[in-house]
Amino acid sequence: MSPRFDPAPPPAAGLPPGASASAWPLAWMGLGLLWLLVAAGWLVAQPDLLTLPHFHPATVGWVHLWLPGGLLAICIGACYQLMPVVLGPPLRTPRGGMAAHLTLHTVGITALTLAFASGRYAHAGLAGLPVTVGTLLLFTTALRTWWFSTRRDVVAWCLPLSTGWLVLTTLSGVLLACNRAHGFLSGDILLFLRAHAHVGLAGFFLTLLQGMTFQLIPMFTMAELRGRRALPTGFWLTQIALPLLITGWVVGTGALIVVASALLTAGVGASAAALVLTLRSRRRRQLERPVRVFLIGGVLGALTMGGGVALAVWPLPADLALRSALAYGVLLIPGALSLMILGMTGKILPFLIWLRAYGPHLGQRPVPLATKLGWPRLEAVGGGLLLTASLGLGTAALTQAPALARIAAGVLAAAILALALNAGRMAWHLVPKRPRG
Amino acid sequence: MNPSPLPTLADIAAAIARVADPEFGLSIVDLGLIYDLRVKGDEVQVTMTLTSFYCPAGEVILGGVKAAAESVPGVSRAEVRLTWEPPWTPDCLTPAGRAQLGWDAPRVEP
Repeated sequence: MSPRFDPAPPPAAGLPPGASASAWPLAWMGLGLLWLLVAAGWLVAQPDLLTLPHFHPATVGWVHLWLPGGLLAICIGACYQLMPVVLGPPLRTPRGGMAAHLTLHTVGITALTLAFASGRYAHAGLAGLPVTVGTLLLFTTALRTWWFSTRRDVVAWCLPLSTGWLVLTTLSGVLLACNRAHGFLSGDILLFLRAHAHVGLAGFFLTLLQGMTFQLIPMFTMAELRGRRALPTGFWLTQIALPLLITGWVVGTGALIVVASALLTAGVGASAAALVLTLRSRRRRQLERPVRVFLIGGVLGALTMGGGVALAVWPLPADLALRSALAYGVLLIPGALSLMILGMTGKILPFLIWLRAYGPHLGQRPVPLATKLGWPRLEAVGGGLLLTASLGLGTAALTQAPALARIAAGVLAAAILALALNAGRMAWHLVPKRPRG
Repeated sequence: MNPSPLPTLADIAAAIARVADPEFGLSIVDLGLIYDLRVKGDEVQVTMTLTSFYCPAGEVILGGVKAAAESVPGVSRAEVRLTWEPPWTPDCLTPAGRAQLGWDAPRVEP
């Protein structure tokens, strides 16, 4: 059989295509880290935010700055970077679409946070509109790029599906904020809010993680993709569970919520089994720190999900149920999800910076490795503090301990500061250096 | 002024070996990505693969190999061909590459 040759790329003159494509993802990741820093500072100034009821306007404002602000911005950057890599065809985004999305998201999230924090829900609805238009841009880009791709495994499917769920999340958010001001929906609004939160958390973040993990982890650890039945089973169970869960919350059918939660948990379990099998086949013996942080976040997330299912199944006294729901949210959002996303950012960000700063010089002069651009100790400190802060904040939310909340908020701010400083050190490599002498 | 001497295979191989995968820190030669290397006069032809079809640094690595080969005195042009046959597997790693990845310990099987 004769070898199959593909044409070689053009000569490495100027920025290679991958390097020029890294600018927008880097901008998104920078924006995400900036918002996480602001949110961490806000929590230090007002540590009781995460001990208030989870539907308190200030708490809602803080969560929107952390989640669709910080974590989502980082994920959007990663999606724009990974879409052409994973799917094959060039990114099918309209001209000016990347700049428009970044602008819409920046303006929208800033206004949304301010509106929630001041309890102006009608304004929050308006502020959610640019965010929604931005998510539509992302979804259409993902869908069109996926359409022109021949890849149809869960890694490819996770892109249009997760971004589709994201559009539904932002649309439902706008609807709920407007309803708070104008009161046109009937029924238990708290259940609608839970549906909105779960479309975002499970629809976007979980769907994305259940797919993209199986692209990135084999690549970073030199592992073979294993669990070829468990992997699609886990992914599609989540996709079946999600509409049931949303319907359960909206209609207020407890049995449906329990069934959907069980399916969701089974889906996560199957994905976890595929991940363990994949990791056991790895050739790179030592797991790097960002990968370890990602995996610790995954374990915390699975445990917290188990707690969430317990909350849905066992009725608790009203006060304990409220505190448990808050602790569940805290362990999931500033906890598990942040550990997973910031862990993966610790791998993606230095690679993007390396691609831009040193990619064009590869083969022409000595260049550092992508893994050597930051300060490893600061990264270790950041990861450790983030885990400590998550557990502390979760405990403070459950026990309503203000002193612990204050300490944990300080630890969270220190964690984000350490990770942001490390990112800044990496970004320093992008600054052109004057030749010595 | 004397013209540059014709390049040798050893010169080209040494230059290409200095190109490292940005993620693993291994030379692409130790990774086993170079399948064939030919020198015809002052022209070089490299046949290589990537660890994955979805390698995000693929274009940069191919460009780096071309630049490294063309940096050797006497080389006027280097052609880098990408092939997926045979596909790369970790078995392509050289003993030096395996050692750097800590792979010489017994492999963990599920």
